[in-house]
Amino acid sequence: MKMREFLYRDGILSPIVQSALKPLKPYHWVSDLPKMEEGYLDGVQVVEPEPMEKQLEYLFSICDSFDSLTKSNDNWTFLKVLYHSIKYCTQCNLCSEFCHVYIGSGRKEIYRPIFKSEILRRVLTQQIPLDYIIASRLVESSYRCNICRRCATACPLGVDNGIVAREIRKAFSQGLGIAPTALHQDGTFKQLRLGSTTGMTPEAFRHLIRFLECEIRDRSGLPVRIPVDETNADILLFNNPGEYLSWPENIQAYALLFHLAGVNWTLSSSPGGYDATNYGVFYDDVQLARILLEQARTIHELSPKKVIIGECGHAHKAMMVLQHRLLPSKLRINADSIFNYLPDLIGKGAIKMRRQLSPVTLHDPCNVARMLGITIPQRQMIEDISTNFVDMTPRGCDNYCCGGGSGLALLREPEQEAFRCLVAGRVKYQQILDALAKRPTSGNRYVIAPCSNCKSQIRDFLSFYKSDIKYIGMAEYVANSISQVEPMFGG
Amino acid sequence: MPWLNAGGKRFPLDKEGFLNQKYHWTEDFSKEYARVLKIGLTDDHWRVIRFVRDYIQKYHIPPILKMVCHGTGFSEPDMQRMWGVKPMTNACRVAGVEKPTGCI
Repeated sequence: MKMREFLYRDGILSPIVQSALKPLKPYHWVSDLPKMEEGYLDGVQVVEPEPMEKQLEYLFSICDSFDSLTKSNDNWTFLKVLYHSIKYCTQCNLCSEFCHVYIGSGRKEIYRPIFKSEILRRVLTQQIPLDYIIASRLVESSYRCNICRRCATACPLGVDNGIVAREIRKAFSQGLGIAPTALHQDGTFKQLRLGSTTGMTPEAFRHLIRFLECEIRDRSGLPVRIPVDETNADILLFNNPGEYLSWPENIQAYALLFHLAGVNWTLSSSPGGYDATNYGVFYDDVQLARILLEQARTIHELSPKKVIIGECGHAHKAMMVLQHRLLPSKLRINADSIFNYLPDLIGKGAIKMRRQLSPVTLHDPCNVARMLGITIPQRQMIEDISTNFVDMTPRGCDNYCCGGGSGLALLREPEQEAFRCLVAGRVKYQQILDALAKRPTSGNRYVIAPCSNCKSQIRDFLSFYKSDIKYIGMAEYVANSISQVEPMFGG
Repeated sequence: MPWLNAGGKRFPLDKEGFLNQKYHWTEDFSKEYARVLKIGLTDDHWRVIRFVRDYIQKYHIPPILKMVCHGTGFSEPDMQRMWGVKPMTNACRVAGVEKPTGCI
């Protein structure tokens, strides 16, 4: 008896491994490539030009942009990872069961993590000819991946299919200017022109902060300040602008905590200083460097002792990891994470805390947990202030992505929202339900979502599934435990 | 692309149903859009619409919900009663202004 039959007969292998052993069906390249049923993304179609002579030219430029991925001069940032991932993937499919999009889609072939990298490999090694259909569906499929890189943690060889998806996006964006409108025109472009991806100008920002300062003073009865543009502050809080507009209580909670702990802190209102987002992380190296440079210059003008990155996942990646690779040494920033800073501050005991009773679970943003490995401090802090903390399974570095990662939460077209809630966010929602089901209660149940992207995704799928679970930011949850003031921040 | 016919004019909307800033808003647009969204416009609604439009003229982004409540004197439950579950989304739609972009 052959070994494989023996293993199948006794059911020793788990279904995960069984699916890995099944021979993959041969692909029919054109008909089996991802034809997305959930509608097209705004701005990412590869449109065939009308005149015949231009068609060939355009096809060459598509080939050129793929070629540039493989040259060390054009792609010195990620060439090594891309090369090893493309070369050494053995198609064992072990990563598939680690992918929340693949599981959430009901295990559809096109959502396997290796699918797009396998197409890219065959295109690059000229096993299949590149044409418009393959090009357009390839770019489409790269925007169906959250680049959470959970698949990379599963791979025994360290193949990173998340990076491959990002490299496909990069080839199309840098070579052909094809990128989603929400990320490029309404994101990066707006940030470089106006100062913020939200379209918030410095005047609007200062007005908003003044308003929020007055409001928190009225509510708390304490002389809380939200300092702006103060030189020689100990820390500069570098936050996502979505927090100011959609979850303004986040900055109020920080102001309250910092006031009670006596921290000398500030915000910046210069363009590049109040917006920690960098959508270049999701799709384009050139835009990434442009924004990072702008932000580094602004921060150096203000010269704070330390920069604390607020509750924003990809800002952690850009400011705490990528800047060390991209910026010259004199422009580098001394940055730390709020996930380290806030637990330290609470742990010092400067603020008197009381314990909260409502059940709460904690989501780990991929860029903070898997990328930087910060999982313990925030857990210990929340365990200290909550009597009813229950962790998700799996947790920490193995936690699932919310389904809105890599900018998918910004795509607000109805079809995209359906994809995010029905496919990408399904596993996360199940995880939250499972965690909180262990602690039934008649009161509020919370999930802490400490990242703007995760917050908007979790908000969307909780309302999509009509759930009574509330989401809340980390700062708001901690500030609700201050014993000096009444809990004032809602989920 | 969806559109709205109001007062003999055709207003193109984006995929989420917001009016682009470059098209000129008229009161007929708000009345017609409110009818489509099944919101009965009262003087209270108009107060919110005028506040939102004045704010965007000055700062180029719509105000946050707290600010609208503060400026018009309505509470957040009032706003939800008037405009539905997502009060600012619907208020911005009817007032003919675009929502901010980014991680919101």
